[in-house]
Amino acid sequence: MTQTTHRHVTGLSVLAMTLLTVATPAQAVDFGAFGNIRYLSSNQDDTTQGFMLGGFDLYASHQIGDKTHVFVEYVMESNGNTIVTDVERLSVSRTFSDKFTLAAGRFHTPIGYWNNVYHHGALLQDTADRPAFLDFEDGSNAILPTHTVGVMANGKFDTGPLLLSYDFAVGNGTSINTDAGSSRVLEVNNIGDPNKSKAIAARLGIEPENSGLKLGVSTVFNHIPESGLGTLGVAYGGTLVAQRIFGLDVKYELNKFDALAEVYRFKNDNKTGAKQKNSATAFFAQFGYRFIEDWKVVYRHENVRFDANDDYFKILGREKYSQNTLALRVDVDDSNALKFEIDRQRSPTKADENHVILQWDFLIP
Amino acid sequence: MLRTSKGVGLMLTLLTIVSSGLVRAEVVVIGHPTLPVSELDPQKVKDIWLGKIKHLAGNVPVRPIDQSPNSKVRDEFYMKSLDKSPQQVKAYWARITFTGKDDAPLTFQDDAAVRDWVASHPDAIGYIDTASADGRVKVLFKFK
Repeated sequence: MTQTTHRHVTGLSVLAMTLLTVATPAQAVDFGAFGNIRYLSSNQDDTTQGFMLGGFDLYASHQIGDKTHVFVEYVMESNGNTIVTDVERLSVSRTFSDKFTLAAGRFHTPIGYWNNVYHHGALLQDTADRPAFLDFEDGSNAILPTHTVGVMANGKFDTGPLLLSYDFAVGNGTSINTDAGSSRVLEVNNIGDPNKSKAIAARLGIEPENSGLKLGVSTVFNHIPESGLGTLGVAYGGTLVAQRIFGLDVKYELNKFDALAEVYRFKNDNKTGAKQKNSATAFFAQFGYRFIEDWKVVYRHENVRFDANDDYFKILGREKYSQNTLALRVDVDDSNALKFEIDRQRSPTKADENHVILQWDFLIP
Repeated sequence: MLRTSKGVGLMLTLLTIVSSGLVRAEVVVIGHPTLPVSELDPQKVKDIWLGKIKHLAGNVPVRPIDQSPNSKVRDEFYMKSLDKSPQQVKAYWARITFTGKDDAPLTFQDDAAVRDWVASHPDAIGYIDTASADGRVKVLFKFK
């Protein structure tokens, strides 16, 4: 061994020793799961009733070093008598500072409060279900793009009296397949986009210090394309609806009381049918009171109104409705809760539908 | 004979209780020497490790450091500081991680790894057995 080689080897050894003695985080992958079992009873005979297995939500979270974070969430749910597995979130993010985190993948669209705070684990929310119009894209009431595949930047600015936050996402946007036999749901487009236009979603949040108040304004711009061969005169990739959504959300907490309200205004420039420009409104208001430490009563009103000629809602087969929900939540312990709920949904085209729901939500941490 | 075995059993039980008390770690909260705070109160410690406080002394960022599940001092720290069992702490962070609002504290293998990390990161704040503290870190709180 020459003197130079020996010096290199010694240098490398010192470097290796140094690297080995530097403390490194011993991060393991954190696995967890949410699930629920429910019993549902309805006054309508054509509604599926009885005991039901809710979605089993399996997630994994891992910090790579102290800046990079990976998150994966799969939900297994019953679809009739078969089990389907959907990737709900899959993202990698890097935090540069409190003011700037950059993420890529599939995540919840930064619109409103509910969609950002409550995810598929029903244990986290006070009621058994989300407001119906905030249903996930493949749900029977979905009208909002709750997921986005793309990139997102977010951050927080603590100014002292105000905590300001922002989320800004650019992604594929949703599409609709109008072909005969298609279920005509909003498609999230995990692998590619039928059109070149990208959807933009953004939310700004404001929290006055020690006030219990959180305010947010959000928006989504999307040209919703046809993702099938097209039965409405729009070919694959062509725009069915040029949509703008504006949202306002307010959350307030004071001791045992909390309130949450969100309102969304849709501006749909429909490119099919009569090619009309239509507006629509969806909102909910929810009030909760924790009357005993682990017992909470919740009331929610939700409402969706739109023009009968609005092709966006016609294509999706949605109906105007209003719904009142009264719920009792009992936290058994930190990882499971019982919910007892009654609700009534009114729609102009069908008889009132009443539900009684008993649900047991759990978390496997 | 029965009385003798009962006595031995009692002695063994007492010995176990005494010895478990003797090996109990004396936990201290440590920070970087440049941290402009000389001590913390129990509520601040709790809020930092539950992710409710991110800054101290105005706008100085702090980042809590955790120890791995097989660490001797972790369970004691959780019970004394957070008033929660390891399972409860895990459920607490599972909810927060799941909603994407925050990440659970970085985890290190043992006292030495926590101390070395805190000594080299001005925003880090950790907990270790008092015997593992040295001049490279500042003791901010001592559990009695």
